[in-house]
Amino acid sequence: MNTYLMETRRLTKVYRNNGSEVHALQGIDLAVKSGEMVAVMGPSGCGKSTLLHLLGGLDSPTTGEVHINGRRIDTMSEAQRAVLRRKEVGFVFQAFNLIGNLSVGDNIELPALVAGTSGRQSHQRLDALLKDLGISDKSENIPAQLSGGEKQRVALARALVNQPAILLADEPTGNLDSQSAFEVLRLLRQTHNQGQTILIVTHDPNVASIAQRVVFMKDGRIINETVLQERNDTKTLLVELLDMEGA
Amino acid sequence: MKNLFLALLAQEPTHGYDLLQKYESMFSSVLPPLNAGQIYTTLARMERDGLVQKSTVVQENRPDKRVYELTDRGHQHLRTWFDEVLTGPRIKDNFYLKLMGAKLSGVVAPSVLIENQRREYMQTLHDLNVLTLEPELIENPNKLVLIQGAMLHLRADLEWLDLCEDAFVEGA
Repeated sequence: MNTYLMETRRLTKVYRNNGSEVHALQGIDLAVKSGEMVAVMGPSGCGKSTLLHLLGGLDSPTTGEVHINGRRIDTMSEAQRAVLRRKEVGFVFQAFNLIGNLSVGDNIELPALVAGTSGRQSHQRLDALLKDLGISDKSENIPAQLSGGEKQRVALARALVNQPAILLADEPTGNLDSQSAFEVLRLLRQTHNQGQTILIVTHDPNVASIAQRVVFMKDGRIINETVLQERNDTKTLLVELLDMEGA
Repeated sequence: MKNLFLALLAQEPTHGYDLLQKYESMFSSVLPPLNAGQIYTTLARMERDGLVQKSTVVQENRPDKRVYELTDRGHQHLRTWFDEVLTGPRIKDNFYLKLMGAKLSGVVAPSVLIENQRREYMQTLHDLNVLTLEPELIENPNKLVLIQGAMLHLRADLEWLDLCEDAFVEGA
């Protein structure tokens, strides 16, 4: 158990609605190591968002177990889970979910203050994140004054402010144009390179491909998995990949 | 290579070594490296075809410089290259043939071919994503855009594999 930062065992989730049952997850075994970046990829309705919600303690499974950082969370009370979410998990959603009447800086700092971090410490953390994510000049703005890409950077900073054990991202580029999406993916990789454990769920192969490992889901099950290799010689690779004839 | 050289010479007349340096500074990370021999062979061929003309500049205390200049015909050739639009979609017909072959022969399941191809495309997308973190590319949007183009094509290829799966794999 201790070798994995996050692990699920035979996880199932059944939604009951007017007498009908939807089997959203049908026995998921997934393990993520510390420092790893994993993508869960599948079409809409495959259960990947449900999985993310269970991993982040936003919802409880029908059967099975979820372990984060050595603690079993599926048996916790809602109050215990709320504490866990604040300290151990950072979320990034497609819809940004920023607070509209707070400044960028306050949006990012709020979770740190709620978690009981001192004002001075949370301020330092805020400054570092603003700088890392290239939004230092936006600190005083309100979210409505930002582009989609900037909003998602703020959401990313907010997710990271409490230095969570794991960052969970649900279609992080779903609402972005391709240039902003590109920037956000670059920042996610940069964040991972700094040691952050990340799990992304997405239908988009381009988003999934930034991970080290891609797990494919369909109809509530894991159907396949591929480990992506890091190649060293990027210069040669570029020439090779593009295979330009030089006109 | 020829058309790129013509474009560089259209900028200004230049000698072979300068041409090599310009080529390297602009294309070193996206095109294969060239040696001086290749440059001079290409220039000689272009001269033979009347696309460039060579003149000798006498230099004091140094060997004479051979400067290449675009001829009218060279200009025209370049113009024609720009006027031609690229036609046709990029079709991965080789993979389609394999898929048909697999279905007909029964030697390998189409699902296996599709799975392997998907892994390969994902790996290539990953490689390209990693490349975009190279400082050289972050600072050069005109190189970066080439990689972004390749990534968009790969996404289309991956979506097409999903369609292949629906068409070729029963119960998919």
